[in-house]
Amino acid sequence: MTNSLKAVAKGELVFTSFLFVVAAVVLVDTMGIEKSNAVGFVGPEVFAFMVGGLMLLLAGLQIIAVLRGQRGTPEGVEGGISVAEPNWKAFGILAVGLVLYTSLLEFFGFPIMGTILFFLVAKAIGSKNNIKLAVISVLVSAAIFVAFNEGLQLQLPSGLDTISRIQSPVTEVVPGEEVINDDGVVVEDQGEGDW
Amino acid sequence: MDFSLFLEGFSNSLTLTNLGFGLLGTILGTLVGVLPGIGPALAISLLLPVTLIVDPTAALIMFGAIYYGTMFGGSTTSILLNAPGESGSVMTTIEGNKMARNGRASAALATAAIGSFVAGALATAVVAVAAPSIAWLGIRMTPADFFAMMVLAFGTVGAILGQSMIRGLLSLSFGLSIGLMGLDLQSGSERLTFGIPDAYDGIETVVLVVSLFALGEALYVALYGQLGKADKTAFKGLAWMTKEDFKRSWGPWLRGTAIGFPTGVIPAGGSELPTFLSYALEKRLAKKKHNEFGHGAIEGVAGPEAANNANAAGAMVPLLALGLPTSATAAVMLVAFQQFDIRPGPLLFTDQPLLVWTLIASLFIGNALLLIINLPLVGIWAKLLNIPSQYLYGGIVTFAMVGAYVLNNNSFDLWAAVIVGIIGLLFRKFGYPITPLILGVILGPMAEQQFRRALQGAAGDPSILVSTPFTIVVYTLLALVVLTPPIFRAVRARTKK
Repeated sequence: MTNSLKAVAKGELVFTSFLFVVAAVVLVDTMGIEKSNAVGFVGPEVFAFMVGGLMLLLAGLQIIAVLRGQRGTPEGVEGGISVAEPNWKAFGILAVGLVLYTSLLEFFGFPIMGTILFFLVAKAIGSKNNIKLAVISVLVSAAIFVAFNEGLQLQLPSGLDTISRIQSPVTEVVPGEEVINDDGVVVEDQGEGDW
Repeated sequence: MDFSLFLEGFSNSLTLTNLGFGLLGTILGTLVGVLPGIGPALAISLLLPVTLIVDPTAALIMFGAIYYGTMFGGSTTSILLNAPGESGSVMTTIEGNKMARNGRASAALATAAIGSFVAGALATAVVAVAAPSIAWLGIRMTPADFFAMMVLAFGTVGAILGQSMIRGLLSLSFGLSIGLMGLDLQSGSERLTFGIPDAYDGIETVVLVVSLFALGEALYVALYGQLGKADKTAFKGLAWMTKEDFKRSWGPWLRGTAIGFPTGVIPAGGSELPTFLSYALEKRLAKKKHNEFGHGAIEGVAGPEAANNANAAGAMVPLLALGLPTSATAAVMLVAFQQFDIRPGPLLFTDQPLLVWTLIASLFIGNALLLIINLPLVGIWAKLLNIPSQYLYGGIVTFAMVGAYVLNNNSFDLWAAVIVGIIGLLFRKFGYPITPLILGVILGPMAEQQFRRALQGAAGDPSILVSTPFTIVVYTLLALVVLTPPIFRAVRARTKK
């Protein structure tokens, strides 16, 4: 028990230091702004310095508080309890779902990526029955796709242009796809960019 | 208040389209309010894409109805599931769930719904009377006065919410830092963009809110949550209560309204404080007769629920009249206004009177619709609690990632959402409140604008910031709010010794 409590405080120290670094980044970034000499002109750096300075001070105080043994109480979980032992597997599944969706949405389209995202989120939270979940995932993402594209007229990527692109290859360079040289030879495969 | 304008607003809100959007809003609001895991701020931000296609009046009517609806729906979850949907429902849960276990779920749901209605109606009436006069004052406020008001909002929200003042204020300053991101409107300088063109506009507020709430919560539950079999009280039929229950409820309703409304108008950090005060008051008053507190006292449901709703309505006053949101939900409402280039604030009442009065009138109508759809249909809403949580989170996350994308059709927003979601997870883990962060992001740029306007008017002399009586009063008030609790604690610690 003492061991896990120590771990919590260590994690909190890292987080608090992260906030300190954020404040430092704000201040350093602000120093790079060119100042104007116009009389009475209050430039973009003044408020930014105030914010960065305040945050640096607060984060510093909080680091001291954490070092002296203060620690935050984790927020409760609705309809369950929060536990000290992290479930990295569940977190990993969810994180993979989010990253896959984000990097491939425009390429494969929402019907496919939405299904994958829903499936992985539900899996991470604790769904057992894969087949039932797969069916529900397809239905939910199809419903959202239709509701947005037909109901709200907000076009989610359909993935259809990817299919047509495969059928009639174009030579334009799209970031994250293969770059084709004049001879039509693939010289470089950058994989999915954006990373 | 100009009564003819009010009537005009009323008739305008009764058109078929507007009424339809009002009804849709009440249904959506109740729906998401009942679903655990979705609070009012998240509900409105998930539905913000609607602002891209509907006309302003209809959309704002819908958001007003959603705002009130989530408050109604939240009580159902607290009473039947023993899970407060948002911080304002925590107090309702204590007695409400005990009532449900004792077979008095129907009365608990009824007193919550009718109490919310009474409080909503009374408070909206006060909004209609008070907002124009506050707007009148607002026109006469200088930039320095506005800046002082915003500093007050920052200070109280940062200091009151959260486990310690430093945590609250750190959350706020993190939000203010995010608010700095992008091109400075006056000079065109880049701030915190790190040379990424996509970051020139900063992070979209909608992206921020959905990722902090929806993704942050889902990631937190996945990593540290253990979802148990929900401890649910089955409920069928309609919510109603006896004459005796009525007799015991009306006092708490009125007292709850009286506590909730003023704490909504001033920046006091949302609905936690008033619901807590109302609960404590009813508990003290109940000592004389029927002291059922601890075993399911109806007063303990009636008071806090009324306070919660009156608080939500009270927040409309500074939002409409000054353009100053005092809670996370009000801040998201402000974003909804901004999507239409409508600037809430003193001038709104003179520039767009019809819009304002239609909105206020629809709040009345929405409130009445909510009572009608809640009392008989609460059994149907309760069925939503049967949706397994894994599908619920799947739906919430998927919807959030759709909402984050459609605003700009840009993957940059999705990456921003994932990163902010992880920050939301860390905030939850280490006990940092999220509301100050959101207020910082939304109010920060507005505060900076007023700050610079004030200083530029005085050729850079900082004494302009404390030049009017109003600013001095506000800063004194802020000092009291921030300094009283620690002094109080120190004195109490000394007397204990």
